[in-house]
Amino acid sequence: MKKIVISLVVSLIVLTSFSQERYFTRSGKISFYSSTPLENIEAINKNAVSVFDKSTGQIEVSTLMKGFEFEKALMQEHFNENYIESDKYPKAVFKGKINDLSTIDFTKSGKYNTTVSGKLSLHGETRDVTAPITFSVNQGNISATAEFKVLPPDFKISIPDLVREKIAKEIKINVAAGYELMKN
Amino acid sequence: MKKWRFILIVGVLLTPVLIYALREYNRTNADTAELKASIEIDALSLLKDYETDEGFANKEYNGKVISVKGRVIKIEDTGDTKRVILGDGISMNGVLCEFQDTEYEKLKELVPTQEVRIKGICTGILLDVVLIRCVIE
Repeated sequence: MKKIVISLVVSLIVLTSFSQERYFTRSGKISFYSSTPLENIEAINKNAVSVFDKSTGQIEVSTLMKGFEFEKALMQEHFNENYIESDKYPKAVFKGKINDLSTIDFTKSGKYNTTVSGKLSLHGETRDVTAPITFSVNQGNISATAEFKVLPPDFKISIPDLVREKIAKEIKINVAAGYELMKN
Repeated sequence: MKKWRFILIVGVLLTPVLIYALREYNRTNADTAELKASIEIDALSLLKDYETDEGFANKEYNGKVISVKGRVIKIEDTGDTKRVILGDGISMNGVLCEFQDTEYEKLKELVPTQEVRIKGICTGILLDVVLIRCVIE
């Protein structure tokens, strides 16, 4: 009986401490921007999901491609139908790990710059990516911003010759997430 | 004279095409209030459809204007957007509805546990089924 009680207490402690290490958001913002002499192309998705484990540095971000909103409806339709093929590939997922996790003090308010490395899956292709990431800690609240640069051909996103000059060769992707503690 | 007549005819014929092209190029997303829902469903059935067979549900609902009826579990203001989560209040997952800014005043009247019907564009499932550009019906 005593053994059962002890093992239950230990399990409870482990579970509690594990839950205190994981953070999540369902309101992560992902935007991309492409600047050209003719026109700027910009889109934003405000419903990305991200899970971050501060003990291991594992981080995951998922987003729905149809959730990207453009100022112009025609651009949005072309993005979904011609470039990203969102019916076929409805999600983009990044799974990675924070480099130099030890440089971040999650108990102390401040900004911490480091990098994140992992795999980005988009348009049916998966590529290794590394990007700068900044963690902000403010009285126990954790948020993060990161900036990725991707080349459409790396993800087999083909751009017709007619509009190739209108779209920058490198697309800048910004990610912002304000995390909350994950409750079991 | 013939040349001017030709230019005039071409101009008359091309003007509507150019106006259409310009309008189409500058067209913004339609107000969801003006769109007709192609599917009416309750929130828990929508969530169940995605959880049972995501591939099928993606084909059935993604990109479509759908009208969802459900119980308000949470009302969120993320700073730059306002959202409502519909669900059963037990499961962590539900139907997340992100609203058009035209609806922000109406959202003040919503309270948790209230039954509501919301129309929006379905974009798929992550933790929740996500609807964007929502309006209250």
